[in-house]
Amino acid sequence: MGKTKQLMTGVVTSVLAIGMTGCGQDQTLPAEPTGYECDDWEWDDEEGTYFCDDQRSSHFGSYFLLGSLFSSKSALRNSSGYSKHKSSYQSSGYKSGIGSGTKGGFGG
Amino acid sequence: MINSPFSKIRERVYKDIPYFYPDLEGEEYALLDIHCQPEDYWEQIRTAATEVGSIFTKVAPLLRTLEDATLLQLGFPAETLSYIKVKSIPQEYIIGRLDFIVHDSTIKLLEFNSDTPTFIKETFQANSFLCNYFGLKNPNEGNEHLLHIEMRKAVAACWTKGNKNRTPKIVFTSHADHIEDKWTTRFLQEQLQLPSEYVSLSELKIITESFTEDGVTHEPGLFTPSFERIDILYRQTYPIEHLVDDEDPESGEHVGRALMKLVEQDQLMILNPPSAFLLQSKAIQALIWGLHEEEEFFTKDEHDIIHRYFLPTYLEPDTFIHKNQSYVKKPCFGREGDTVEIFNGFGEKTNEEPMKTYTDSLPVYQLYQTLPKRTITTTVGEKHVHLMVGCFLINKRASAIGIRAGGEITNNESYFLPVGIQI
Repeated sequence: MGKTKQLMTGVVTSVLAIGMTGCGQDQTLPAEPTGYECDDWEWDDEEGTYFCDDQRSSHFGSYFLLGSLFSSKSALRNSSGYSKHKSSYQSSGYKSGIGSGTKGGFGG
Repeated sequence: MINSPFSKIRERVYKDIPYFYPDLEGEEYALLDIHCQPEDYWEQIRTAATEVGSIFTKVAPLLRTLEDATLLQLGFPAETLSYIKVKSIPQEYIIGRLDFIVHDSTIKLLEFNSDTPTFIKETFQANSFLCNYFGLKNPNEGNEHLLHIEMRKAVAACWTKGNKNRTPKIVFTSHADHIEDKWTTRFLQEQLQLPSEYVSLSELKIITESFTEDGVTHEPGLFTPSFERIDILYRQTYPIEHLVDDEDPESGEHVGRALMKLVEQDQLMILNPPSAFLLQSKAIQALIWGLHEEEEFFTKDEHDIIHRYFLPTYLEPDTFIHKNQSYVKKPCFGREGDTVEIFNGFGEKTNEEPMKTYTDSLPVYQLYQTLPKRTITTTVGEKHVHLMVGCFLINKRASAIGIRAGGEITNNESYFLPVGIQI
């Protein structure tokens, strides 16, 4: 049996087993933030973040980004207080050598 | 390169582009020339890209259900099998590039570089400078914003999955001594517009197994040179099939495989995500063509898309020899034309790339189609070259377009030919 035929035998078995004839998986927006009193999160395509559009919420107009809530769009843009979780510890338990196999230039 | 007035103009035009690389390894790379076509020409390429992309997006979930033996038949290294089944975020890939042969309205897919495409800075940024110089409208106008939005979404999706109540440490990485890789990566870092750090691959530190020292336990993870734990690693230019071979210089430990294990165990998020590598094998095109021929899996519309844009691709050349058709043999994880060979319908080799880096990679056989030709202007005069059109897919949305101009086999020595809209 040729390699292609062999490959397709395995593939068609999977197709039949799972009955996949539907559409491709739909990629939606990231999950809405949780843990805040806000019933209406809207995606701001300009900023690539969610903001609270719930007028009854104390967070109305706040922007959520990667674990932090900013009171306004300008606060979001001016934010620099991203947490550092830095360890000054140095030990032989750390290894290196990532990227050692090639010298680069292998992106296609 | 000749120090002619033309060369000086070229130098001046490209000097305005921040951190660009008009010459690579001392050779002219970016041309002071432009490929001008009407707007609908570029739009039909984007339509093709969107439709072809929908086919890859549809097969990705199927690929994750395949037995290991079948995945090996698709050329995936054995060490990557558990990694490629990880679905870390909803997106299958963030930045991918489809390479096409375009003859007027006939568009055929050569390959999909879904995991580590470069040519980003050229098309998303440099192209606009060249359009300004030639006084033409830029077909890629506004695409930087799409890149920004989709990178933001991807990072947000990563961190939602991480579900941690703090802000993430985001690191962009590449080989720092490779100018194209480095400036492409730094360009992407700028597009994200979030606090992040650039760390060269060689400076990354990894803990492969937890250990306790002085009463402090250190958990496995990836770290910056100053020992900050990395949450999200953006590595646009370093292929997974090379990462699997990385070793710690002292212990010889397979640190690349350890990094992949961190991803599998949700201790590190990586972009492009693992699913992007799943689509990278050129053998996926043999699988798609096989499902098309078997009339399985795809809807009628999808069969039409495959018929229109895909080239017959198999894991052996028999069909082409039987039909006396010329074909191309290429490694399923090859890049830049390396190890590619062209054969006539009798199975006789007619052209080959001198570079043979990927002879160990499973070969695929694809119907040969000629690339269109045109004359370009270089610093050493006019040249007749072949044109290959690359169109980026940014999370399924067709985006920036660019042309590589070179030999019958597009390789590392091919030029960047900017594109413009003919009014």
